[in-house]
Amino acid sequence: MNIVGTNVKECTLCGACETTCSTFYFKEDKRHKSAIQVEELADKQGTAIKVCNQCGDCIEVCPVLAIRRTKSGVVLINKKLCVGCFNCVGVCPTGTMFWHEDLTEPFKCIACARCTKECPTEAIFMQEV
Amino acid sequence: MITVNGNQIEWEEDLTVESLLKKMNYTFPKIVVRVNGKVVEQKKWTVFKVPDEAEVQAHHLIAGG
Amino acid sequence: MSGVVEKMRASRKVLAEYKYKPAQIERGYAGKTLYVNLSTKNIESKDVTQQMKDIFIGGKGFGLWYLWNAVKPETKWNDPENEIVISPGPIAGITQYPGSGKSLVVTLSPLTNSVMDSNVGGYFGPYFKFSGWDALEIQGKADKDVVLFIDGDNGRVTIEEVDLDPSASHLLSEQLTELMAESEQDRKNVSVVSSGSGAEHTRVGILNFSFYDLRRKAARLKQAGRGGIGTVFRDKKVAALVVKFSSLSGKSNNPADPAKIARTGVKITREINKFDDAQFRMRQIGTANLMTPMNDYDLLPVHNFKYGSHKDAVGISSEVLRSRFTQKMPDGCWVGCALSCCKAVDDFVPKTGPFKGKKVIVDGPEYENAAGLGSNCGIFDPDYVIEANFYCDTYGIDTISTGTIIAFIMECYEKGILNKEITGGLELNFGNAEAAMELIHQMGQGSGFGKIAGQGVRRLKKIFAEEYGGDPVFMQDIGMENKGLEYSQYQAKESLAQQGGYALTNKGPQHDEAWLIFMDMVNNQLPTFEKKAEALHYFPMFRTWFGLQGLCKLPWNDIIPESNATSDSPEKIPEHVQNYVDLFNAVTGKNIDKDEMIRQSERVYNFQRVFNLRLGFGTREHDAAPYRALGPVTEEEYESRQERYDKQLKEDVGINPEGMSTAAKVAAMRKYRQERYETLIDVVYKRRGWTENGVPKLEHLKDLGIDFPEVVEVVKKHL
Repeated sequence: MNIVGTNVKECTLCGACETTCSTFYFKEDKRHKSAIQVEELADKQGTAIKVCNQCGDCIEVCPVLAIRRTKSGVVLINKKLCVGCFNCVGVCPTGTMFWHEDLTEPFKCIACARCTKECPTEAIFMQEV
Repeated sequence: MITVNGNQIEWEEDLTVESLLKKMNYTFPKIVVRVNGKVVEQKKWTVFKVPDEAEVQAHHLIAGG
Repeated sequence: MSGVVEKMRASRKVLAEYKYKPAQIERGYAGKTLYVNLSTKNIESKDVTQQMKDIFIGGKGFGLWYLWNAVKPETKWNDPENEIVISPGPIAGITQYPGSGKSLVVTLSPLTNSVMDSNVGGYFGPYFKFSGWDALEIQGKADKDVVLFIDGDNGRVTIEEVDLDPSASHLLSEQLTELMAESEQDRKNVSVVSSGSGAEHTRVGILNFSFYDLRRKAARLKQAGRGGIGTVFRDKKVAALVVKFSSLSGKSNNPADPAKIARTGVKITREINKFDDAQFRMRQIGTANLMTPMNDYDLLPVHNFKYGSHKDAVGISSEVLRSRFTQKMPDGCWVGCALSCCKAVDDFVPKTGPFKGKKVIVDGPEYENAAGLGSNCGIFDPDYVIEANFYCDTYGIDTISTGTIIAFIMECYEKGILNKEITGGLELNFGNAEAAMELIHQMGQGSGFGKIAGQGVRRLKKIFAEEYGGDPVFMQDIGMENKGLEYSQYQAKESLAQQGGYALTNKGPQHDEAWLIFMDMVNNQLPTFEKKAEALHYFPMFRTWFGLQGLCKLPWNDIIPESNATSDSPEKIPEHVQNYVDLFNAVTGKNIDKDEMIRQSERVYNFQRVFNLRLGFGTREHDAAPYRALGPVTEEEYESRQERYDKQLKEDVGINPEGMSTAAKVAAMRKYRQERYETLIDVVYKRRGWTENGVPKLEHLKDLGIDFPEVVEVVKKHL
C-alpha cells in the first residue's frame, strides 16, 4: 500500500503540507486542521513530521465500526457512522489520529498525496510499503 | 526496626522496596511507596535500599468493584 | 429467531399511543420527563423544573424526587402507586469520556421495603435522553404483560401487547432489538430493558439493559442488579422497555463547552492506553482482576463470609477468568468507554437447564459474581461460575444477592438447620456446585426450595426459625444482610471503616458508597474514629455524585494518572476529581468546584435518608450489622486466624489470651468490636450532620437547602 513517507532531515518546517491539507479538506489554512503536521522537537534537536502510517490500530477500538481499511490499504473514517468518542485518538501509537476543537469527529491522513506534491524539499513523498 | 504503614517490621541488610513489599505479601498492582515521606518510583523499587528506622508508607490505591 | 420475531411483529397491539416532538437537548438536559401509568394507560410529558436541576441534578436525584411525590408513607413495593424511575443524568450520553452512559433506577424495594437505587450501563439511558427525556416514571400495573416502546426517531411512545416469552432475558433482548431495528446495521440504535422469570418468583429480580455489540452481532446485557427492581418491574407486568434513537453523534448531549470535554476525554483515554496493562488490566479482565488480590489480602468472601481466602481460590483466579474472556474487543457498555471492562465469554455451552447444549454469550463474570457465586459458596470451578452467572442474568436475578443467599443456606445446611427433606433433596453443602446450580434453576423457574430461597436472607432467617427450629440468634449473626439487602462480596471483618461503609448506607450493604478496606486495614491511613468518619463522609458523598450524573465509578480510580504518585491525597485521585468537575461545568455551563460537587451529593444523600425515615426506616437500629460482618462468630472462624485475633486481644483490647478458651476469646473479641462499631456510628453520624439516632438535623437540612415543608415534617417526628 501507499503511505506518506518522510525524510525529516529535509524538512524546513515551511508548512506547505499543512496548508495544502487543511485548505483542501477543511477549506481553511489552519495547521491544526491538517492531517499531516510538522513541528520542531521540544529540545530543538530536529523536527518531527506527524503523519499516519496506516497501521490500523484504531480500527480495533472503534465502538461503532466506523473505521475500516480499504482494498488499497488506507485506513478510513466513515464520518456518518463516527460518534466522536476519540478512542482512536487515544490509542494511536504515532499521535497522527488528530482532533480539533472545532470538529466533532477525528481526522487522519488518507494518503491522497496532495501534500507531497507541494513539499519543496522532498521531505515527504509517497512510499509503497 | 522500620515501620510500614504504622506496623513495626524487623529491618535487615540490603532491604529494597521490592523485597520489603514481598515480605509484607503486598501483591496489589497499584501501590504508591513513600520512604521517609519521599515517593520512590516503581522503576527504582529493585534498587532503592530502605534504611534502618525508616518510616515506610505503602499506599494501596483503592479500586473496588 | 426471525420466525419468532415475525410472529411478535404480527401480534403487536397498541393499547395507548402518545406522539411528541422530541425536545432539543440543552446542556445535558431534555427538560422533559415521560410519565406512563400502566393502570390507566395514560402517557404524558412533564416539565423538568429549574429547582429539580439545581437541587437534585438528575439521575438518582430525579428518581428520588419523583418517587417521593408518587408514594405515601405506607406504600408497599407492590402497590400500584410505587414507581420505577429511570434517569440518566446530565453528563450521561457524552461519548468522549469513559463510563458516561449510565442510568439510575429508583423504586421501592421488595427486599428492604424502602428506597432502592441501582446504577446500570447499556445504551438505554443515553438513547432515552436523546429521544427527548430526562426521566421515565412508570406507575400503575398492567393486567397483561406489556411492552413500552419509545421511538425517539419519530417521537412516538406506545404501550403495546406483544406475543412474547418474557422468561429468558437474553433472548427477549435479542428479539425486541430485531423487532425494532429496520436492518442489521440499525440494531445498534436499539436498547431493551427486560427481566426474566426469576424476577417473577423471587424478591431479587434485576433489570437487564442491553447494548448491541456490532462485532459479536448480539445484544449484550448490563444489570441494574441490587434490591429487586426487576421484581417490581414484573409485578407491574412490564415485559420490556424498548428505545430507539438513530442519530447519535459526538454532540448529541449538546454541551456548553464541547472542546473541554474532548480535551479531558482524550487525556484520560491516552492514560488508559498507557497504563491499564500495568495497573488493573480492566480491558483484559474487567473487575475480575480483583479475584487474586482479594484472596491474597484475605478479603475474598469464603463460606458465607467466614474467611477471606481459600487454598483452592486459584481455580477462579483473575488469570483463569482472563483466559476465558474473548480479548481484543472494545467491550464498553457505552460507546467510547476506553476502559472497556465488560468482558464476555463467547460460545459458552451450559451443561444444565433450558439452554443446556446451546451456545450462548455470557456477560462477565465480574468480580462480584465470581466471588459471590463462587468462593462465598466454596465453589472454585470456573465453568460453574460462568454458567451460574449466565443463568442469573437471563432468569433476571441478582448475582450478588443470589451468591449471599446460597452461601447463607449452605451454612444453615451444614449447621443442621436445613436438611435434604427441607431442600427437596438438594445437598447444599459448601462446594456442591451441582446442588447450587439446581437451586439457581429453581429460583429462576419458581419451583421447589428455590421459591423459598428467592425471598432473601432476611425472610429466610424468619422462615428457618419458625418452620425448622433454626436458632434465630445464630442466624442473625451469620445472615449477611442489612436493611434487608444482601451484602456484596468483600470481607470487611478487619476494617472497621468498611463495616460502616457497608451498613451505614442508604440502600443497604453495597460497596458503591464506600470501599475503604485498603485505606483502613492495609494502609493504616484511618487510625482514629474521626479519620474513619471523615472517609465515611467524603467517599459516600463523592461516589453518590456519579449516580446524579449518569456516570460510572470505575474510570475514577481503576486507572491511576501519573500525577497521583506525588499527590497529597492519592486515595482521592485528585486529577480525576478535577476531570469530573470540568466535565460537569463543560456540559452544563455552570461553574462548580470540588466542594460544590460534594454538596450536590449531600443534598441528595440526606434527602434519601429522610425518605427512608418517611417510610418507617432510616434510624440507627436499621444501621446495625450482623456480627459476621464485624468479627468471628464461631470458634472455627476464630481459630482459623488465631494468631491475628490473639494479637489483637493482647495489643488492642488489653486482654492476655493465654489460657483462655476459644469461646471466651470469641466473646471478648465480640464485646470489643461491637463497642467500636457503636462508637463509629456515633462519630459518623456527627460528621454527617445527623443526630445520634441517625436523623439529619434541621439546621443541616436548612444549610443544604432541602428543608422543604414535607421534609421538615418527616424529620420533626424524630427530633
